[in-house]
Amino acid sequence: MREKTTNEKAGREKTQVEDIDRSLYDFRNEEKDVYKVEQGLTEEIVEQISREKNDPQWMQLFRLQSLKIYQSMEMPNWGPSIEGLDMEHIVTYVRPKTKMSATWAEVPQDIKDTFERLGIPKAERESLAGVGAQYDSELVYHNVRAEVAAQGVVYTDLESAMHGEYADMIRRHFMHLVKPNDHKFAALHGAVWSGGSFVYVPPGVSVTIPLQSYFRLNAPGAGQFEHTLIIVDEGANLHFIEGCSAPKYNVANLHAGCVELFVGKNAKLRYSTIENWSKNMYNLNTKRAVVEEGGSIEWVSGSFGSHVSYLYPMSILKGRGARMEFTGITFAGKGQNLDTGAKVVHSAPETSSYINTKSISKDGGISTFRSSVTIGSQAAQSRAAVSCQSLMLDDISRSDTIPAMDIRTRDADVGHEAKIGRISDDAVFYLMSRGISEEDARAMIVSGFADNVSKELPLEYAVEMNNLIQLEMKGSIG
Amino acid sequence: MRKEIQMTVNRLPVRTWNHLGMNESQVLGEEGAKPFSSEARLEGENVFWTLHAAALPVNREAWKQNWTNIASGMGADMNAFGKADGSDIAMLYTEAEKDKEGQEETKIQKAELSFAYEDGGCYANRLYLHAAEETQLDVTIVLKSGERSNKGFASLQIKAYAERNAQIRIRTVQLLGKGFCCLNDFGGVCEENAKIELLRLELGAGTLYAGGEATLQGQNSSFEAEIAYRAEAGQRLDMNYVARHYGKKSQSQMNVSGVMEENSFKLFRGTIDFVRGCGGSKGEEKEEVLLLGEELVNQTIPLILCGEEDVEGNHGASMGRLDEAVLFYLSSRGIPEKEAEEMIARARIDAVCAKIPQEEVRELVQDFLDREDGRKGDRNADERL
Repeated sequence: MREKTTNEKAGREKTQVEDIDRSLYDFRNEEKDVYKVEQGLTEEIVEQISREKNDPQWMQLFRLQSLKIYQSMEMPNWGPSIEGLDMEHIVTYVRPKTKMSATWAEVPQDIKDTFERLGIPKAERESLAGVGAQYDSELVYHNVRAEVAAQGVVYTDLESAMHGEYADMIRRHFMHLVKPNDHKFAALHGAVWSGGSFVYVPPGVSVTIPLQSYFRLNAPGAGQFEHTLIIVDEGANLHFIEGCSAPKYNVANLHAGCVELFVGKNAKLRYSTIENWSKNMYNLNTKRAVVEEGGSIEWVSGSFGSHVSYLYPMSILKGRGARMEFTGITFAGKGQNLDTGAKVVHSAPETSSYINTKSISKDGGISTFRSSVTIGSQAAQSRAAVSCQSLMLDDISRSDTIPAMDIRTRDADVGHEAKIGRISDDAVFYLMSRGISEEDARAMIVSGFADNVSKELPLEYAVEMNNLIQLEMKGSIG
Repeated sequence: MRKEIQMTVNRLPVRTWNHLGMNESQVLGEEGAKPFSSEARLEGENVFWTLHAAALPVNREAWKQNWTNIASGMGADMNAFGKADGSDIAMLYTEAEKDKEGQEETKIQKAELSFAYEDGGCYANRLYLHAAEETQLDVTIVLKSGERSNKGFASLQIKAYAERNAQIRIRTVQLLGKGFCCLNDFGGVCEENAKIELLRLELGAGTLYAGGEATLQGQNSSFEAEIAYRAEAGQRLDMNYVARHYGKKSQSQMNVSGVMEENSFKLFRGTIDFVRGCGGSKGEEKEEVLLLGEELVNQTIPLILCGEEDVEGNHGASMGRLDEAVLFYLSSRGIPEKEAEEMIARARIDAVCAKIPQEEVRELVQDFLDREDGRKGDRNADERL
């Protein structure tokens, strides 16, 4: 239950939102007995992290090479400003005072309470096949239902998997899709990554209920660099959900995670994310999927939080007939600059992609849709469609769309449409004439605008997203 | 040997991923570019032409001083190109009609300019158009060279200023030989209720850099651009068009229609920028590209930048080969696929060409296309042998 604001306590309806009520996410735990490295980024710190994590030797070398690449690369000269992010003041590794458990009872009370408040154990009981919960730099809980594990599905933390029977598989795939020299923050990730999940779905296995990883960053001035590696083998099927949040601090926090998805022949993977970082977060995340013949990747992405976001899940359609669908919504409020979108590379014949996004800007928020569609000369008879719609809720916000297309075969069919505008006065008037207040009418229209995304989400996440929209819209009539 | 001058042109108004290679382009110009003298054919009582800035009327001097401040599609580097070599600004302008009262409608002041460049030459021309209040200026420009030009460099920059209720219509037909590198730049400003229309047919030049930017400063001002291009084997087209809305209820419309053949390259940047305060404005951009060959590079980046709530911005693009249904229909009429493609490709250019009022210019275009198609026909015949 959120606390009432002064205005509401005084019995008046708010006419202006000062800040968004994020009490559901905006609570913090005291740091007790945590282990953390020094601020900044040096070879010694990277070696220290590697020792702490008991890395195999190849990983230790990989980290040091990544650090060199990081130091040699420039900051991006496009996109929102990240001047407020000073790596000299970011703590790259924070380990809570616990080991990973397979039962919530073994998780320390304060951390367990955190995830209880976020509804994770409840969701696990009701609608998930497995859960991984990361607190700062390490996983504190990981469990998968016995019947799913019995099908040969592996869902575990990456660190222990690196020492077990899947060690070779991880070495063959880890940062092969997103290489450290891809961009500066991919290199940073390669150097200091910690936590995240490894999922392997064997050939032909269909995981009918989703797996979920939840990432919670509690430490102020820290970075979270989890790595998610998912391999869905031939003919297999998986829905993976990722959630993330953090309490708000006055210092910058950094999230530079990396997601690598390998979708096998005729396999299907749906990857859903509801990102709700606090508004002091720099979210510089990299996600990429490669899809083999007849396979399909579906991205569902909701970006609501963080101060600055750079987030463009990329799909490489490598096999004949591979498919990609991206459905995304971005809601940028006060103090937020969210640069989101998607990338797709068609590199085989008869591949298809569909990018459908909605973005909403309010209270001075900046939302940018950025995309790139590349159809190579070998991708004959491929189809691509991009549709982006932006809604401006006031005249102090911004909304930009920057979609790029690069087509190198004549035998392709490419369509693109972009629309930008505001809430129609007629629609608001119509709803008001039916007895709905202006504020509710506007919230209703925005929910409708976001409907194509919410209907792609599991019910409880769709409800959460609609609640977020209601919260954002409350008091939007100035 | 002439010294080369490196210029950065066609900057995207907002940068994106560098690896795409779309943020800007580099051009190597040549030092020593000379202006090409073209006499203007004028039609109307209130239209004037001067080749030299020194002869500008006093009241226009201020505009001459400010002309570099008018943003153009290719960017600031174009303002300086050729300047050191003495390329002056030619000016074409209308005077406000003195006895306007009692007249039923504003007479359109017309001008035609033809630049017939010599093979191997290096030219830089700057042209300033100014339409006084309530006047209409209608300019048609033809850029051409010898039939089989092996080498040449031609740069034309046009800046235009439309005062209140004025209209400027610019039609540029570019029919240069394939050995030419052409820089074709435009920048214009519209005051209240003013309108600028830009029609461009880009059919020649082995390498083309083209830009166009309209600053819609006044309320109800508008910009319409109609661009048609054909990129044949080995041709490289690099374009940047921007409509910047400042005035309330301003409108922009950009229609781009292109045909690309084997081994051609095209990069089209198109931006609608709604600056805060331009409430009630509308911007629309459409691009249709017909792809007729393999091994081509067709790049497009259409931006909508929005800092104002009360606007409507739309963009639509459609790219691909000829529609199967059209092909089937034409083949059922006995027209082979190759011929059907040529026919539709030609029709796309013709649709824009038909908007040029001067018959002799339309004929020039048709002759140019016939010549090019004839050459292609010869090449195909050679390949068959």
